[in-house]
Amino acid sequence: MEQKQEYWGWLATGYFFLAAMGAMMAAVVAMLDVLGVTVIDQIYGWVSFAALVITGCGSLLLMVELTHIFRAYLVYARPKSIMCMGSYLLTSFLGLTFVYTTFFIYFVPWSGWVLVRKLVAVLDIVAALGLVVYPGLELAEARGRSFWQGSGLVALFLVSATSTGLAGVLLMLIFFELSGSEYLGVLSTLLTVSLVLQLVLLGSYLWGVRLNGTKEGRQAILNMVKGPYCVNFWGGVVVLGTLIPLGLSILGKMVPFAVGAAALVLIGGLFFRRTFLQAAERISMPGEENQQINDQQTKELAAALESRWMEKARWLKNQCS
Amino acid sequence: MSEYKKVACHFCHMNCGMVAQVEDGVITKVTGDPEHPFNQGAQCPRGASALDHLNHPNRINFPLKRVGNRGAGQFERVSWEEALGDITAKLVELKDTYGAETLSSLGGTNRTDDFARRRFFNLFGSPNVAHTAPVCWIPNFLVEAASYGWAAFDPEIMNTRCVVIWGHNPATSYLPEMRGLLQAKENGAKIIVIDPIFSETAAKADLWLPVRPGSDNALALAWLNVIITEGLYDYEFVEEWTVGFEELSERVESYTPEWAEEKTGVSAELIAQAARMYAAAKPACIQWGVATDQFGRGSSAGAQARAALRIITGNLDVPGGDVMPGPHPEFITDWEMELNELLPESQRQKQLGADKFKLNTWPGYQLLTDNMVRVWGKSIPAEWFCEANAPMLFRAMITSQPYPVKACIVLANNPLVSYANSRLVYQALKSLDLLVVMDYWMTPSALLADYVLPAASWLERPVMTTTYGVSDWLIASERAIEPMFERKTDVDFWRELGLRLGQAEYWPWENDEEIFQYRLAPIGLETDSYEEFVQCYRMAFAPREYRKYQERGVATPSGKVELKSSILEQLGYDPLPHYVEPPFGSEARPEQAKAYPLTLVAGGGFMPFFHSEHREVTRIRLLRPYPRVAINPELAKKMSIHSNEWVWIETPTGRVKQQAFVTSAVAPDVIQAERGWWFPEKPTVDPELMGVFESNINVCLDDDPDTCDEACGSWCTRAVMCRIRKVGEGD
Amino acid sequence: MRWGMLIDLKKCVGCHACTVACQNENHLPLAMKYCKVYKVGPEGEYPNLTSYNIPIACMHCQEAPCVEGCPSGASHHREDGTVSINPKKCVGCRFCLLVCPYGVRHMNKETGAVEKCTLCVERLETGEVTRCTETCQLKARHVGDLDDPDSELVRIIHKENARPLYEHLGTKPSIYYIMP
Repeated sequence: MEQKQEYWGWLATGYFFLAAMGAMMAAVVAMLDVLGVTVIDQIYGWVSFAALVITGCGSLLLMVELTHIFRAYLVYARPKSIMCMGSYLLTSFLGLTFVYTTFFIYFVPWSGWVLVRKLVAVLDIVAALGLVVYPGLELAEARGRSFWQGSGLVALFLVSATSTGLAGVLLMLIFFELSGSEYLGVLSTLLTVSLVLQLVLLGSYLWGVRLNGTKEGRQAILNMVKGPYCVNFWGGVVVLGTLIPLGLSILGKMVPFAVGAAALVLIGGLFFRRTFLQAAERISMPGEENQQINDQQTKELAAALESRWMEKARWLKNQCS
Repeated sequence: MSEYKKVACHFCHMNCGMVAQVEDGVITKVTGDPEHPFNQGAQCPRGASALDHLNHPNRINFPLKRVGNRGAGQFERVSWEEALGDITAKLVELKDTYGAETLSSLGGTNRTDDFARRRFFNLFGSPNVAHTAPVCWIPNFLVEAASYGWAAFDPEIMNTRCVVIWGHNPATSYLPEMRGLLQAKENGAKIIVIDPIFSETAAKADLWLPVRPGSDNALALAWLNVIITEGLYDYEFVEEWTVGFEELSERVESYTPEWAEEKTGVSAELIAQAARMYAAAKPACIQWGVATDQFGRGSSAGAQARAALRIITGNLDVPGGDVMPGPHPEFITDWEMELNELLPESQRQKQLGADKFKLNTWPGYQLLTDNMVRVWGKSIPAEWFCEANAPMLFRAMITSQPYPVKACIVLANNPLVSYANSRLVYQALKSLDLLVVMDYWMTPSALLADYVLPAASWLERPVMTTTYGVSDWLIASERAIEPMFERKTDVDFWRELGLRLGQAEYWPWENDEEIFQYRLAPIGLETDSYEEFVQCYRMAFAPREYRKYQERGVATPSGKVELKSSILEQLGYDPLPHYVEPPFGSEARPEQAKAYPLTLVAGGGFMPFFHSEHREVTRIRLLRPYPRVAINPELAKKMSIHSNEWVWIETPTGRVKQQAFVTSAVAPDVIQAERGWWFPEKPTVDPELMGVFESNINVCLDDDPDTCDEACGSWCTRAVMCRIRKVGEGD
Repeated sequence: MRWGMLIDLKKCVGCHACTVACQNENHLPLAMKYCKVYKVGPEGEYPNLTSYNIPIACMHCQEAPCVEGCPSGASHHREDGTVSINPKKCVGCRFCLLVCPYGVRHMNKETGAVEKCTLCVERLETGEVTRCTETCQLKARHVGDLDDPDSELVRIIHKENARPLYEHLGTKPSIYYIMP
């Protein structure tokens, strides 16, 4: 019996996390830009550059995950597949964010074309939202892993991405010593709202799966709530990643609190992706639980036996020399 | 250029037909032979791994001579010439000192051409050949032979109405047979399975009787009671063709279903229902099951009851019933090849165990042979059916009583794993002056040897299948390639040893094929070579005849089918079916019941292994990597044992550990431990001996001759008091 | 034309011959199995028990999540209805491993491509049966054309009311089972 989803591990987790964080960072500044909020526009370029770098790192993780990295271009080959669509979204987002970032480089001829910049910002927001939302739909393609339910995942991923994006922007603000700005407060409030929403959605998602889900869906939740992932889930996602930052952001708008909250939100986001990826075990085949050893143990035993036979063959041969 | 050779698998005694594709002397593929009647093109996982076995890097490829201490794992390669020369010299010396009987031989189940072994031994002058035969078919066969002159071992399942599968799990041991069984079921036959374990076969049965381990005899007696009391027997056949029915009726009167309910744990109603189902179906048959040979004391008493069931229901040698093949009338059988007549009477009398277990030693064998020759013209081979008793043989090796047994040739066997009481076997093998082991692998037993000789496997030698020399058919298969490296066939070995010991006139043939060709000649097909026979005919089945007793008579002293066996009576045994307490049960040993509250079933074949073989074929091993002991969930819970945890299995004789397999297939007070386990990956030195004492369930079994079957010396593996506990840390 | 298979669980005894024969036929790494066999049960309480065995390999789904999800087109349907993998196109994203509900796909570390049961199409095309069918001692497997209403395969499927495993997942497998 599959105890966990084992095909997509840390690399995919990292990609999902970084892409979501980068996308929502870019989306937040693009939104502010479109809305005409100018007070902190001096860092729009930096945030969007950071988003570019962060998402870019994420894409690298994705590339590393492939066994045939030189064939990576083939991921664009079948637009009908959701993963291929994701690749297009990712590429568009990276491109748009890059273009958007260039508007903030003073020597670039088009740096003053505000209207064009805002148009790019709108497109970037669309791409960012797509990038954040598609993984939920992608995972929902796994019909045998009913823990992943499309609509719920989309909402949850969106909110989690928003939290991490806001946290990213917050950290940037502080890094650029704009902590005095009233926008720190505004962003902080937004983060609070996002975290509350995250908590509610998380709870209702798990509740929903528990109520309506299949055996393996319920098992996944059990694994999270009191099984092998409970430390990650309760410690990482709920307490560290949501409750403490929530408390901190409610407590005050002071810089140390905000830094702490934002940093914890990022850690929480990572744990969230990790647990949600891992926990989704596949529907069990009849009798699958009766295997004496699992696939991994089989591999290890096979290697151990083979090497022992070789050792014995040398021993037998030595008798013959 | 590809050649296709018709070979026979010898990874079990089904001998399924295979086709080997050979290119430039190298086998590239082995598949099932679609034209073969047994497997019809199929292979089991072992057969499908034939090449892994043939080319395994750990196969013994050259003769090895021990140079270090016994068991130290130090050998040197020698030539066959040197090895056989040394062995010959030692044998001559030992024979001069102690007499020919000091040489013994041990075999397992049929992996070899045993007529050659016996031929060599008869010429050498020793009666002390032993196999695991007493716990495999021989008690059932011989009791049947005493009752009706041959065993009715070919139940015509395809034409029957009811099949009784008694102590047998063909779904893991005889797959082609299982296919037939399921086809019979589709044709409307009822399947009754008698087994304490909910086996793969029981899962497909119409009726499963979950008897308490070792209580099968009680069940058989109760069936006799029901069938006779309710008048469900075949009056005509009983009247015309049997003797002893009156005595039998009297005898089974007290064995009521209610009496059996207490012994078997199966309700009296269910017992009676099953008996009626079996008796009412015409024709019906009872399949032989190996478990029924492994109850120790009482094994042949149970066989007597089953033989009586076949007789009184009129299923003997009828279409769709228990068909009795008899010997093949034409081809030269194993018996004819053995030269038993050359073993002097004085040497026959020395056969170890012949004074105690008389049915499967010279006293009984002589009586049976006289009757068989009268009716059939031929007898059954002495190999398997007339042997030294292994527990007595091991004791003689250790104690030199009644005389010293100083040498042993082990061929196609790993005695440390396959005989009961492994530590005693260990002591016995270590007491020898000369131990020769011919095998595919460096087994734990081979590690103790003075000479380890490389055996050719079935792709490298021809195989002629005649069901241990007692069927009226033969299936011939050729070798795909000449033996690789310096491997030799078993026939080559016996012959070459024989030549060195002055037996030249009796070994005129150069190789296996010449012998087989000689044996086939009387069929009169005029083929020029054995290979030609294989390619053109492949098999020879005697025309099937039923009710052969009508024309030929019955090969018993009375000429009738004997419900009261005069041969058993003459040998001093109870001639009628009777109840015997299982020797290691709480009935026989109430004083031990408290300390050992569970019942151990130590056996039952399981895929993908055959006996102690195949642990070193990686692909096969990965299917079942570690030994498992089946434990009921209720017991597991009580003992806080979880699946795959290591568990000690303890009897007064010894303890081993296996992994817990928590399953409701066994009753809460019964455990079933896998047999045949050793670990070829573990250290190759004495006393580890590749973990031969770690999980090998035979360590836990006693083979005290007083607990063995009275007539055949079978030791008990199936109902032994035991206890279990979880293996602790550093334990 | 749509190749399909029927597995009779009334007959299967769980001997693993198909597993091993398939491994050898396809020269698979030791621990990789295109076809696994699971023992189900025994369920119930001694002695009221049921048990059966079930071989599981690629179901060659008509609506195959692996094909739908493959970004490169490596996983595809052949004209004969089987699901096939073009190893030259596989980028190794493992998404198909994730979405296959039956868990029958494997990443071959040596080739970097995903592999699975091919239904031995190259054997089927030459008139042979699949290796697993050939080696089955119990004759529990039948292979044939699901689109041909007169084929023995379709006839038995109807007669025995054979169904695919986990039909509710909606992948429309081409492997049918006669339940015990």
